[in-house]
Amino acid sequence: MKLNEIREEARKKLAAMHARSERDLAALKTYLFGKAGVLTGLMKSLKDLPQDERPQAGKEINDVRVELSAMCDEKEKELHRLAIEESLNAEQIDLSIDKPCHAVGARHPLNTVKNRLIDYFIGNGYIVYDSPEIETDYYNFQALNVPPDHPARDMQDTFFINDGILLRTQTSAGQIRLMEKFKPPIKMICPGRVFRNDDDSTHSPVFHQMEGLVVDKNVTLCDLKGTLENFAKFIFGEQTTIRFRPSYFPFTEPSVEVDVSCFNCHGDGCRVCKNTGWIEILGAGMVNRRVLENCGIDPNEYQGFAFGMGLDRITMIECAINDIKLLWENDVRFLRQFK
Amino acid sequence: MKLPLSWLKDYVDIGDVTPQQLADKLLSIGFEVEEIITPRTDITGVVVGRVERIVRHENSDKLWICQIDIGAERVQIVTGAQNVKQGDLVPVATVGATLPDGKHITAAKLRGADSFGMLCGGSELCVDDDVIDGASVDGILILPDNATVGENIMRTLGIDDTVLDVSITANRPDCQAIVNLAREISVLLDKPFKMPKLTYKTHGEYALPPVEIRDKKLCSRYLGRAVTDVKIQKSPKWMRDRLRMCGIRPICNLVDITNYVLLEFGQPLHAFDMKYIDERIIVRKGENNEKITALDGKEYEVNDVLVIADAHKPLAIAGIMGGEYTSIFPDTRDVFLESARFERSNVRRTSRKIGLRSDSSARFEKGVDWRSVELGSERALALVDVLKCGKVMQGVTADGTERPIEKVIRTTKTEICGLLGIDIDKKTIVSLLKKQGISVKCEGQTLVCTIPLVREDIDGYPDLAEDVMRFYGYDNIISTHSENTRQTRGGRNIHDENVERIKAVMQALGADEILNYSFVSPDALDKLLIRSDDALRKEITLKNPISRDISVMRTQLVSSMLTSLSRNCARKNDSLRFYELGKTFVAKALPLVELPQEREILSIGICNDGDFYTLKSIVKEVVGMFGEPRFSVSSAAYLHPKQSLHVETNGIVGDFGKLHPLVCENYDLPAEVYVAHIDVADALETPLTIAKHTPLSKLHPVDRDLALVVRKSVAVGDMLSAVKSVSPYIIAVKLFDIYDGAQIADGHKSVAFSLRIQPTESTFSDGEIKAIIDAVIEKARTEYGAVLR
Repeated sequence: MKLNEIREEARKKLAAMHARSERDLAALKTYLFGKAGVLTGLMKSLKDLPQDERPQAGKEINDVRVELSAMCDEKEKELHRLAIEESLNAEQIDLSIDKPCHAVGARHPLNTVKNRLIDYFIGNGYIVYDSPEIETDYYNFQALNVPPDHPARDMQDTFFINDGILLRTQTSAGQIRLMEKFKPPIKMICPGRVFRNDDDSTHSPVFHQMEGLVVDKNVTLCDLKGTLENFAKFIFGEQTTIRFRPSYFPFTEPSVEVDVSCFNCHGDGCRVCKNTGWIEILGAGMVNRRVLENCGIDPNEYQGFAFGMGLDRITMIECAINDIKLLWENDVRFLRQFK
Repeated sequence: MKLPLSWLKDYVDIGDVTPQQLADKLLSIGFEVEEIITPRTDITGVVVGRVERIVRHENSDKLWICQIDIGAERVQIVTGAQNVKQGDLVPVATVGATLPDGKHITAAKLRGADSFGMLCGGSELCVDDDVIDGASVDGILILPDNATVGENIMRTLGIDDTVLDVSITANRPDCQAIVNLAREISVLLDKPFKMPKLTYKTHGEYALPPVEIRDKKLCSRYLGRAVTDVKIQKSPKWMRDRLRMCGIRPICNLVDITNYVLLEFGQPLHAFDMKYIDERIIVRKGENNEKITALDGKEYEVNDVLVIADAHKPLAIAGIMGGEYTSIFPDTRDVFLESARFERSNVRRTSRKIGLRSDSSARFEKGVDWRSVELGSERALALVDVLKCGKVMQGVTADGTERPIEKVIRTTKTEICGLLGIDIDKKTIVSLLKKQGISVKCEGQTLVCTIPLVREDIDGYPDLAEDVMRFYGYDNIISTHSENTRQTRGGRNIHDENVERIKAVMQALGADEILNYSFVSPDALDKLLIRSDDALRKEITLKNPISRDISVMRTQLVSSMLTSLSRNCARKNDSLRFYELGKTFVAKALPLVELPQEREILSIGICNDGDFYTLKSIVKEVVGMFGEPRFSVSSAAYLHPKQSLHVETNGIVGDFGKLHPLVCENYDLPAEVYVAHIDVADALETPLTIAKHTPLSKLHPVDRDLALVVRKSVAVGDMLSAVKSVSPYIIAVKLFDIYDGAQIADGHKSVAFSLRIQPTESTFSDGEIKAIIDAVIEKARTEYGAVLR
């Protein structure tokens, strides 16, 4: 057969191949390049040509050989790709059903909110301080300027263990322990459980507070407002404003209640803010001079502010939880809403 | 505190300020109005009318036709009531009126006679004899002669007043008095304050019994006055109305006066029947076995309790309640009127000790100032005069300090403004303080402030700063950002970081975080089958729990975990995997002398979401954060003895496994519940170490599979650990099958596992690998009786 004919025949055969022509390709390669293949045969027959024609004929045969070999390799890759593509169709699965992997768990919403607040204050240079839940009367009351039989004790129903030991009613107790240990500049928060002998539809005997304390030279009531205003914007959004109202806590003077503008109605009045436009979220004030003295800090040199907020209340506001009891029921349907 | 606006208006003219505006303004100076109690809105169009003429209806035996003067006009009304006569003053519901039962009055014809309205009885107006005499009569309410024709009946009945319920903070006991609150409001509204009438006529000297105070710390002032020839009767309607609005039940004129003064001046008073006082008044502690029957009819032991006594017997429990014997009765003729100042914490202690509280003790506990002792007494005598219910006699009997020196506070504008952070000029500061009755003298930069006795709360310049701000306005406080304070480092502590790491791992392992109370039932440990000598039994008990269910501080977290699982099961919630990281309370000794240790426990509970091995893997992951877990036999009573383990590693001790079937029953739980209780308290204090990198080997590891036959009782995990320890080059032993079917001898099992052998310096020869495998087989043979399958 002529070289040209071989070339044309091979080209035709290659062009006719399809996804399942793997064997045909192998056969073609054997036919062309095998020991008994046609090209191999032509090469062998070179010796029959006159000496001076051999180089030219040899080159021609080799060119065709190289060309066809490359075409076969190319075809082989194409056939492999086609074969895989064809097999994908057979691998269709039902995409509409679910076979779950193990889901991650949910953090309790109270702790999620608590961590968010903690992170905010950490970012502002505060340390986090933990202080005992079973406390002495001294740390929970006396050092905070509430002597025995002071009427301010009526503000909180205390659980007692005995005369001198009780369940802390406020995280403010942490202020004293911290100030006994560290000296100004102080910036700390003390989040934790507190206890009051109070159990009705809006109160739980165990709840959570977060105390904040800043003590240094030249700390003012305006600094308190700036701190809490930034904090309120962080929690409730940039448009939030706060207002101070005079109040009374034995361990601060002056003392204020702090309201934030209602995040729902922005002050127009709605159900969330009971039509007042404001939501009460924390109590605060300038640290009472006696409290500083009790902790060995000179009130003539240092001033400070303190604030305390109810984490349960903030959680309920943030997560639109209307019943405080839900926080303690551990109903998995509730918990998994906060994944 | 209840503040009726009509009473307030006696002392300050509030002009056209609405109750809501007043409430808002009060809030800005620190008095929150909890409720605005509005007058009744269910009566409209009812006025006082006078019956001019009354005649029988021609067509009826029962009906009467009345001509009624209602001020603006005269109307004809037909009534069926039989108690009305000419000249009577009666409530008239005019055409268009509405009544509490929703009835709307229209013009009508009754048996041919026109009727333009209706005469009302007490029940139709929903009032009773407490509001006005005759209200409960069957028929029409006949009003007293002094009622004004045409007046709105709400006013006549004294039910048209608005009352503010004001919350008074504990530092302002002085504002538990209407006059003092009125004074604040006068400053707030910039209106003059009018003092109540304190003058009266006296009727000669009276020989009062002498007063002696034995303990001047507990009673700093005591004074007595005499009122003779008293006529005990009902007090006038205006006084009874006001008492009622403030929540006090009217009794008789003399007692009502003392209560009225209590509300008005915040000064508790007591009226004794003079004839039962023997010789003298002594304020002293009760002595051995003395008893007194108080006004509530109960007998109280007054050992070591401050009492008012005469020469022979206790007459009253000081500041708390008078005795029945000396109380005012209809036959009382001469009255001894006590006004005193008892130390507040002693009243508080005593009141709690003997279990008796009264309006009087509530005031004394909060603190009654010096000045009102005398003012209260004077005001009461003035009211005796106004009510004409007795003769006020000259002469005062008293003991104690008449008038202490007023407190003086020296401060500066710099001090006050330095605390606030805003600049207020000195003149404004001085004027705001003066308005509040604080006298201020300027000595150079120093402000010398003399504090009125009524303001016992003012103690230093921060209090003055607060009083300046209250009226200067807290809205003037601007936001600043601590420009003058030093930088601090801040940050989470090791403990909290570790807590967060554990929680992150638990969350990744699919567990939901739960929270439980810190107190549990004292029965919890019984339900968990805890032995009576177990350390968990050292529970701290609350002295005043809300209920038995939550009366002891928890020493374990298992019981609340089980309660939570059980509650979910009852609600048909499936697939539960919970954890709690919470505190337990470990007492060194009971009863508690020093504070207990508060130890964090990680509890895990699984129900329908895995088996023992699921829990074991979770425990290994969490415990593994702190060190290689070491397992041993668990002795936790609440766990299945054959399906539980004890685990320990650096700073961690715990137990976990399947819940004991009896405990399942105690908590109404299904049979397959798995719990872990792991004390992580010490581990939480371990500083966080960042892992150090070990170089990765470039040499290929060699894997070899082995199957060994051992007796069924062999603990496979232990054997595999032993196998691993044979050579440091064995980096992993992976169990892939345990088989005990055909071809395996009875009582035996085949254990198939793969070993991964990792060369470190150079590739192992076949001989070296064989030596390791032989050593593995030998170890398993000698220690576990294993033979190659």
